[in-house]
Amino acid sequence: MLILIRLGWYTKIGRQVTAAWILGMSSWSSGPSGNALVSGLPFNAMTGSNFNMSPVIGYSSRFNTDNAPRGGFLESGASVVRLLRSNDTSSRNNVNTNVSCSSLGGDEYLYGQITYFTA
Amino acid sequence: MSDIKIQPSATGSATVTLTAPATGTARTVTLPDSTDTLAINSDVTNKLPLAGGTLTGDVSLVKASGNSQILVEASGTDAYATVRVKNDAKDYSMQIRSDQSDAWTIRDETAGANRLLISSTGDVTLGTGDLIFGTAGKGIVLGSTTNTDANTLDDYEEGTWTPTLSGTSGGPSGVNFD
Repeated sequence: MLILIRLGWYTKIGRQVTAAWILGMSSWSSGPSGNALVSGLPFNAMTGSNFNMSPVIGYSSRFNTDNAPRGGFLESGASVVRLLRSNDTSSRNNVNTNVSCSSLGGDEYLYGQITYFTA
Repeated sequence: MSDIKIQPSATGSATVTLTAPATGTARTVTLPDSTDTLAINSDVTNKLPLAGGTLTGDVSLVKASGNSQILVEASGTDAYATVRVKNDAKDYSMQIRSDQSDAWTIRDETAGANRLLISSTGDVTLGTGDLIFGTAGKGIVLGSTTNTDANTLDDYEEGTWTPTLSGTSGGPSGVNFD
């Protein structure tokens, strides 16, 4: 039985938005390309040079070992979170490398939350 | 027995003047008339109640200079002082209510509910409803005594959104969610 796990909640107080999501996929017919994003946030982020805010990745599953997201940043003026992983297989290394879509299988789970500012 | 008394004070005279206009209807004062009203001219619809009774026309209080006021005072202990307005559908009162710690109250008499209260210390309470701004983008100024944008809470929203795991060069298709 197919159970939908694709939910997001948000609260906006003034210009501050807190958004949480749970995303669990079983398969896809065609995967995304480029660097992995969580898209569809309810409001665009504030626009500004070097303006980035980071999510908390609370749970991930079924990502390849060296491609699991550990953080990310909110793209300026957009409603997407760019996912980042450690720059090698050690979790103690810097989290500054894009999660590649080419390593995704379409059956990943990803739960997270981000607080950010709108314009 | 009937008396008419015109009584001067120690320092001033007391005068009743009834002047008939040069033209038009003669003026008559009857105090009181048969319905406990003061008839101020011969028009029976233009009467000022002395106690109880109903004014059937509009009333204007016009003062040529200085501040003007209508005072409604209930001097008895814990008595309500009330100004009441009503039409064919609703009946509201503006009161000082002793059962609300003498808060100034707007009360829906039709529903029997207090709608707005301002306490004697200045606190404001909405009795039953939400606070709704008639113009979008208006808000509540917090932490400031002047209307500054940085101190104005002008938006609140909660809801759901639909997340997607996508890519910078193209999104997925045919996704099934487990």
